[in-house]
Amino acid sequence: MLEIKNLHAEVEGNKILRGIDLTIKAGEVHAIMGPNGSGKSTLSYVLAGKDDYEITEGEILFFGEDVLEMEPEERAAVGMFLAMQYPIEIPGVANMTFLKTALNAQRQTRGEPELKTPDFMKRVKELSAKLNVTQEMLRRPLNVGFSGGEKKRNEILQMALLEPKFCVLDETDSGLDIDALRIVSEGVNALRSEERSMLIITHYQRLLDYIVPDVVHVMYQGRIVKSGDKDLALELEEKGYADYTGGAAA
Amino acid sequence: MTLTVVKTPSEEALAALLDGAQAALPGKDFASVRADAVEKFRSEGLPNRRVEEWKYSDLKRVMPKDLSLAGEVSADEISKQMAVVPRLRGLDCDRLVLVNGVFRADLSDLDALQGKVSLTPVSKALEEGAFVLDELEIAKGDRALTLNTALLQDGVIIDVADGVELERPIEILSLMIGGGMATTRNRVSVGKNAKAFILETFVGDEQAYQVNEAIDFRIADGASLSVSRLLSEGVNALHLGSTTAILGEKSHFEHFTMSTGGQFTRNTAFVKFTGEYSDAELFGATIIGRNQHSDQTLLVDHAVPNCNSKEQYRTVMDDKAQGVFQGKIFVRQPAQKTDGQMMSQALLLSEDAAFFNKPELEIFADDVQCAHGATCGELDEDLLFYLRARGIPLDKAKKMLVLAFLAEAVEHVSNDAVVEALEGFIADWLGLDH
Amino acid sequence: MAAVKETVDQVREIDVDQYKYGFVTDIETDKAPKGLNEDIIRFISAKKDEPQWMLDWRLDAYKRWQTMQEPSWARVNYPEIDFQDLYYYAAPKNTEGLKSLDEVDPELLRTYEKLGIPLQEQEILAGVSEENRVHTKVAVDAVFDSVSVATTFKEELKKAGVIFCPISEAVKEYPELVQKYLGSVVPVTDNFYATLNSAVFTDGSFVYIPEGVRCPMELSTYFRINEQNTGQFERTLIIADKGSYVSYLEGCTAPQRDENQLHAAVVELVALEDAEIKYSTVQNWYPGDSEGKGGIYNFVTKRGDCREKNAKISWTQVETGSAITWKYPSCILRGENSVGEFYSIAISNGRQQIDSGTKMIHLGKNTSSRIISKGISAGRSENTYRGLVSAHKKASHARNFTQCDSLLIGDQCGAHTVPYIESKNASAVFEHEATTSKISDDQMFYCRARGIGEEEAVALIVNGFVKDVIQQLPMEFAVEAQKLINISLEGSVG
Repeated sequence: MLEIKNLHAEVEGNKILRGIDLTIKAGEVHAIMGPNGSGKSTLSYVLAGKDDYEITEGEILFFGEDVLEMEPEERAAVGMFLAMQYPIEIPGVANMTFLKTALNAQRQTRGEPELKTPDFMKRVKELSAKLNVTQEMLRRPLNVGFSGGEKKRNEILQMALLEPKFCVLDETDSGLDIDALRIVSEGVNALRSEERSMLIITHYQRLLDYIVPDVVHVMYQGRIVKSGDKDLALELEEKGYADYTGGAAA
Repeated sequence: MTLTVVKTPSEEALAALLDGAQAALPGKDFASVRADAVEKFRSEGLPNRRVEEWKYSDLKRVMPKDLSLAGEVSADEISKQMAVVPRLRGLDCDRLVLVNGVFRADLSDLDALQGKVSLTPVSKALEEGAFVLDELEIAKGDRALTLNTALLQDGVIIDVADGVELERPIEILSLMIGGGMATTRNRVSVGKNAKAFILETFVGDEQAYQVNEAIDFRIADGASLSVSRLLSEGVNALHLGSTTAILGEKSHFEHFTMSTGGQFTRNTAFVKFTGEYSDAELFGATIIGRNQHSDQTLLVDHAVPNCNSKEQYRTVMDDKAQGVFQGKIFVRQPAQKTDGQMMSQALLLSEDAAFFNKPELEIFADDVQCAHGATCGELDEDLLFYLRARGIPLDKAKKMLVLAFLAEAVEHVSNDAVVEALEGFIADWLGLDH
Repeated sequence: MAAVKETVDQVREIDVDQYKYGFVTDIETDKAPKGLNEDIIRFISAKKDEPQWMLDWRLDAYKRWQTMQEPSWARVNYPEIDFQDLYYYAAPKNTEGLKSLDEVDPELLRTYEKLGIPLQEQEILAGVSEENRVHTKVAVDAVFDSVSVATTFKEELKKAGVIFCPISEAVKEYPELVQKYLGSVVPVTDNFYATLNSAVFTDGSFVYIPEGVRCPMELSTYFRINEQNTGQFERTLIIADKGSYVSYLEGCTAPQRDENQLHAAVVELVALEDAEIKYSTVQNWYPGDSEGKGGIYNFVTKRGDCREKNAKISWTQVETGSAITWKYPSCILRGENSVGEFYSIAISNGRQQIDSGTKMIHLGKNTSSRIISKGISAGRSENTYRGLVSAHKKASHARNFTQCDSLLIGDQCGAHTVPYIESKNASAVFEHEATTSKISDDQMFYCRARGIGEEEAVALIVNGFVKDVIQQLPMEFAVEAQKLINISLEGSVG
């Protein structure tokens, strides 16, 4: 589904990604762990197509198509989704309005008919109930005044509604208490399927107790330095990253 | 549109004073600059409420019609006044003194400053043809500066060399005795990566006098300058002050104004960023009563990208006092990534006090974050009640809250000793023990 | 939502520089000779068959106007206007003495149809989405150049005691009301343009809501400038008697012409005890082309007087048109506890120049006011908010809250904020906040990462930015306004 080959990226002249190679097959869930500053969030933004990053080398293929040539909205329309670490607030734009606009924009790009309002409402109601997103949160301006947990639940709601093929979850666990973590994880697990892949970026093993990955990667200084199964995450939790960082960060 | 300049008696008196003084003023090379300024004054007259920048401070109305130049004073009289005028005392600083508009080497701490900075009296620079006006575009045509140029007598030029960090503040103290008019212009240049703290003090006796003073700050790349300015003029004084500051790259400018004195005070600051990644913090605290008038006007010119400016002014008015705040953040088209935040807050303590507030934004660059806020009201009833419920009498509770309100502005001054002295000064003004 | 989508589609269909209402109606007109002098004023007065007092009032205004200077304090630049090179009166022929709509020239009816203004007495359909469509009645007074060509629902309104008619008719039919209130809010000599208007005003609407009456439908006036080189000088007077309520809407368009056209209106509102007037404007005069050629010079004096206690006046404006806008709908808060509101969206694109804002003059005790201003500048335009909030000595416990936000789209435009805040009463509490920013890159990226295209994302964010004001508009206007906003910003992205 997704192939990243020798990806190098810079921000304002600083080299952040220094040759990432990663292949994710349909239905797989991969986790990327690593210390602060290893380039995890940069990878997520590069996948989604944020402007500030310059790709100096390498390629990203999604179902064989060159992703780097696509605008962010085109990537969304072909089924890539980034659940952000810090979801953005947009004053005055009701959450519901945003959801409907996004969904129909994507459908339009894909040449699908618009979802009629009653069908849309029904769908949002079903999904929001599961994720404990209240009617009031749907009416409020997008992410404005939402607590950390509310913002993350809202991201997962968007993911569930937009039904992407590939999801990147960037530190979705940060700022969540145990109850919120459980709700969010259940929401994510419900979306796991044979056709859908995920890339989970996290600092802590905790999240991976709830969303069990097929593959775990360790990222350090812009490269994947080790890959393994879910036990690698437990090992990291115990020993830290010292083995991979040359002892610098214990 | 042709407007005839109505010559009021005070305008006539001022014009006569300007003409009469020209011959005796220092600097042959400067004579034509002065003459142009006199001519400009003749064509414009005194600024009044019909001139937008002076809308709330009508100089034409308050300028007295009996005008003369301030005269010479005896050493005895000077030390007598120095002992009684309200100013910051007990501060560890090096002092330069101007009396009635003339730099007094004999009263200044020249020895202490020897070797730390270079000092030149403005009158000497004028005589040598070494004093050049390089006015900021945003300050061009300013009516107070025009008058300053027309009658410029003296001042002091301080140069802090590259890399020099001054440990003690330098105080420039201006003292007025016996009435009359004085006109000065000081200049402080802080070299690359140098650091200095300047304290400006304006004091005088109870005679009616007029001060027109200007000060130019040049802050080189990487330099840091802090200025605290205390306007504590005598009760019958008219004070026109103009500050211009030019900031180089990666420089820092902190400017605090405390205004309490005088009958009519107009204080203008023009700040221009000429190098990127610099910041300016402009703060002020004004507390006035009787029928005092105090005007704080600012113009911050963001001409280059990536600079920050922060302006915070607090004004307290009692009795029949009138306060004015006018501030403008001007962001030119190239000045992307500008951050400008301006706040003006006022407290009215009496039914007869008035406050005029005009915080402006003028913005030509799109990638900016600029904001201004303004509030105006009376003391918070809930806070007053709380203090009284704890047994503090109403009058004292009010004063405590006023002090706290102003202290929030004072506390931005980066020198702790000066902060303490300023807070003590406000407490004295209020009649609070401290 | 649906409206946003619709807007974006609509925007796509429109070429840059295509002003939707730019067509000219080919109709025979009756004009006064070019220029301005006492004879022209007599001509206008005679055309309107006015009583002597009205003519005297005009002539007096003209005399005063000749001694006045055009104001220069606003941040707008335009070549000097030659007031002698204008027509001060132009009217479609055969509009006098029409008894019913059936008698109106079909060409005129077609014009209004094209503009989407219902001149038939029917319920109109409007709503922001399919779910909450509403059926409402709106009475319309249609002013074409210098005359009112039709007023609908007059009879039905009359039954409720509401007077809604062209002001030229009111001068003859209700002289005591007109004489009592005309010029009582905006004095004849208030300012250069208001004085000019007092001398030469041709038509506009007159509304009187009697004591205790809640006006049974929205009232609206639709202004159209058609004729070349013609100034439109409308005059509107609305009086809400004790305990009454009225919501009034105003819309304006003009043909696309290379020459600038002058529009200098005066609107006076009087709200008596416990009365409320809600006045909404969608101003969409021709703005000129992207190079600044042509467009309306819009110099308008609008003022409301909360004359007695508990009165309320609320101004809502969506300003998207005109080459130059000079307009400060204001409230005089005279009555105790009276309330003034100003909600504004001012959008400038191309070479437009807007200098607009409000004045809230607090004279009475416990008066309160609220100002929400949203300015959006794009292209090479200049957009200035200028406002005054003042509390006079007797205005104890006056309150004001002002929120003034500007959004810049592109780096060739300007956004300026010039508030004057004057307090002469210690118990008055004024709060003012202003911000200037651009649409953040993060917001854009977030929208795009969810599949929303660039242009649509801008529309979405801008609609969010102006929402507080849009919400103040009557629903049938809100939809129109939302579309207009997006069309006005067409071509501003990228």
